[in-house]
Amino acid sequence: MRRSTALRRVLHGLAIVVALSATVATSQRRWHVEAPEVGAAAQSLDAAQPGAVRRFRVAARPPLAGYDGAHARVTLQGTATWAAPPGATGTAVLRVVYTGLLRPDAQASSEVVLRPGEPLALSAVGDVDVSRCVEGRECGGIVGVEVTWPRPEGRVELAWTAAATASGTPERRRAEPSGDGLLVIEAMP
Amino acid sequence: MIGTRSDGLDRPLLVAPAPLLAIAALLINDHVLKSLATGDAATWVTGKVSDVAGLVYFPLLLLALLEPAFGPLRERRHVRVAAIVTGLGFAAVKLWPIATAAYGITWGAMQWVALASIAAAIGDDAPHLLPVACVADPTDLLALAGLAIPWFGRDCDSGTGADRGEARRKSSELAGEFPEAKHSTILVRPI
Repeated sequence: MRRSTALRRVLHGLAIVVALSATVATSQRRWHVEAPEVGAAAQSLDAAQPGAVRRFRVAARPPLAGYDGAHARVTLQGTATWAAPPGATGTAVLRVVYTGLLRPDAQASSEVVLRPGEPLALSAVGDVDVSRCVEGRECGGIVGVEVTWPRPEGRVELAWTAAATASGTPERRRAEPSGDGLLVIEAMP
Repeated sequence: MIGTRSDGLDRPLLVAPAPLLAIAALLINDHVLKSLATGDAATWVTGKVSDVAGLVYFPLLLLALLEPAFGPLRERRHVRVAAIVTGLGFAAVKLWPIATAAYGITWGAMQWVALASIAAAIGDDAPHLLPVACVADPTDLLALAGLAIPWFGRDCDSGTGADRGEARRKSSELAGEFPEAKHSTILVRPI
């Protein structure tokens, strides 16, 4: 009788482990690849050059390129600092436009306000569609940010970094993207 | 004592043909049949089979996991409450994007624990914590029919209606002969 009870407990424990494993293991894990963050050379805005453009190239390589539903999520982060001329008061207003991003979720509005000497963080997140690439070929897109200073007074220093990640649902009968180098982001000159 | 509650509680609910078959069906369907399925219809069917199989055994798994905290949960009412909770949770995941995301994150975290343990054991880096893929498809609610098995299952092998009537009659007779057995629960075998 005791042996029977012990056997039942063992079977019960085994059944729980198998059921839990079946429950958890059968759900497909999303895949995930990322490109290392890159920085770009600093830019200055002043009366002589009141606008600047910074572009980054996002490239996906097979099997990420052309993978069904694959989007590269690009995060652009920047800092703007206004070096105001002596005696300047008030603020500097910059116009910021992000380009090349599908559905950009810009945390900075299209106009940002700088105060003298206070660095202001700028950021935008958006997608680059890499699912429509021709299968087997590297492809991607160019994302960028254009900053203009309509009424320059003194100098504004700009610095940008960019990073990209991609994730998606595994497709049947197709190797899921994994490993280094599948997604690259680099600053363009 | 005849037909006492303890008689019925000795047998764990999960160790029964229906849930074990459902677990086997889930594993075979997800790891073999889904990869063989071609075409939308076959994909649709294999998707539903997984959901039905999961709903057959999940309420019983839920009770088994709660037993260490609450003691034996092997009565019909327990199974039905677990079936209702499972059904509501399943419907929420299939209909409500927040619940779908929560499911993906929760299951992803559970997978991560297992994968991270394996990675640690073999000296690899811990994997990323990623959600699992989950499609919010309202047609998956058809699979809720699978809950009928745990809901009614405990009567499945207790015989025909005539047999049950006979059992009740004998139980009443015994209760008359043995008053101390009057308040005992009639033995209900698990599925």
